[in-house]
Amino acid sequence: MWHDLLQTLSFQSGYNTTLVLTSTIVLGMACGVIGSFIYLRKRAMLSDTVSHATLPGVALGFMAAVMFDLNDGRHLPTLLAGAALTALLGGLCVQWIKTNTRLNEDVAIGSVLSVFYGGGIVLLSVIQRMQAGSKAGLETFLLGQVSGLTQNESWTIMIAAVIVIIAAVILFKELTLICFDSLYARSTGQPLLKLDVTLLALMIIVVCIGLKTVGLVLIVALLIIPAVTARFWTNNIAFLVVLASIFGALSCYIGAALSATLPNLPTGGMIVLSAASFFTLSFIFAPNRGLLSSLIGARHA
Amino acid sequence: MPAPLSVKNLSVHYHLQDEPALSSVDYEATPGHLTAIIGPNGAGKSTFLKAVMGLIPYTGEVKVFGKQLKDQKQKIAYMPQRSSVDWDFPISALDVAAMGLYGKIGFMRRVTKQHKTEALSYLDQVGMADYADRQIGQLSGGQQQRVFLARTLAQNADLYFMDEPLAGVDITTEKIIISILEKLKKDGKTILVVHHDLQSVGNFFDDALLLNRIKIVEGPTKQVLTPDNLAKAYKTPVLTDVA
Repeated sequence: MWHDLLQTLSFQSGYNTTLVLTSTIVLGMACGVIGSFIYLRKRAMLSDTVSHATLPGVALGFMAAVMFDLNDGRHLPTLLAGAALTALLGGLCVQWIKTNTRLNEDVAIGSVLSVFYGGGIVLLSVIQRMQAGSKAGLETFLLGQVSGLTQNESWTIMIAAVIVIIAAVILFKELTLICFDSLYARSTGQPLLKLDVTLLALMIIVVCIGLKTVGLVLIVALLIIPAVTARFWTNNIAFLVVLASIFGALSCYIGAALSATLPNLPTGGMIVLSAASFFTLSFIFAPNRGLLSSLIGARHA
Repeated sequence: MPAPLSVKNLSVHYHLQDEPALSSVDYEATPGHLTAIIGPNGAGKSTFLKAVMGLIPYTGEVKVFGKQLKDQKQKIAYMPQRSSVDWDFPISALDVAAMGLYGKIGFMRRVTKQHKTEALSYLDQVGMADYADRQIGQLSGGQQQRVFLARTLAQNADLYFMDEPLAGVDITTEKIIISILEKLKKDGKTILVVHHDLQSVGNFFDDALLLNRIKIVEGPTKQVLTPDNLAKAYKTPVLTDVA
């Protein structure tokens, strides 16, 4: 077992495993980068809504793929297009409720998240009773399963993740500004709405490409935990984004390798637990912002 | 030359609120003057600033140097209330000051060494050059306010909007901010400042705009700050020795 794990961790388990592992690592980097801005823009819970709102889209995408006879229903581009569509719809619902009713954002988030997720669960059980299509594996979208990833899917994930990272780097200055002071950003003529929509779109992309590996229930953790972990170590946003992408990559690397080697361990859960262990270590040991440091500081004060 | 700011029949009605926050305000700023916007809590002072900058929906007409605001963004600079941002944000004083240069730097372009040097010169003007590399959360309230002022100065505008720049600051900061305001005035800039302290209005400001959901009165400070006007704005008589 240890031998297998070491082989996977050192990328020596063959082309397929290496490709899957690499794509998951790049996904982790993209999650860390976009997650940093989501965390600083205080949109963490919105990203949870968006990820849960992908489920009805996955189910509808499956139905559409069956109808058009695409790969027995398991046609990833169609599934992801459906996921992105309902994710966007969920995000817009939250925004609409917030601006047009007297309800608060947390109420909007709680209700939209559960309604979309509930709708997705109903659609999944409808699919289970359908005659056509090969529905095995659809449930891995919930908690993620790295072993089911094909080479094509791995490449898709990797390319999309790299595009997201490049977009965030190009927009770094503007995203920083709207995260820090959105009102001021607008006063200087920055296109706040367009930048927010871009951030939402980038968030939806990483959520969608993370569906198969991390799963829609847990992807929010991979967006937020690496960013929050990085915050313990730095006061500089550029460095925070870099650190978050490293923590995201490491979490995916360790979690995916463990899940690929050990029997019956869900990938999403393993990745989140790896991320959480980095968080815990940082929470305790980080200089200045860590628990030990503040305890020692309090004693010296 | 058209007025730096001309406002006609400005009304703001926040979504889902029963009463309008501001009704039918007419106002014209005098070029090169330092104007205080005063009034009780909830009078619509910040709302007035946000509306004329197009940051919240309004009805009425707003002209900046005779043109629509959207064509004049580079001529205005806004200093928001200090409480409007999260000061735990992972950014240094220098990087915040540099934000004032973003308009000049341009969309999606990098902040260069030269820009940082320029931003540092604005921090220097407000006595904050020594704190350039500090994370903003490690600064005192007055120092944070000065970093905000440096960012505003970096925009090198002609019309300035400042929301409570003197609220809760230390004496050093107050002196620095006042001297900067006077310097801007000397350079012919027009400045509108939301101000809360009636006692000091007469000392610093040329003009005053007294609001309480409507415009009570505008004009030279001495003429605005009469017991009658203040009683109208504050409903109850205000004890003040400035009038």
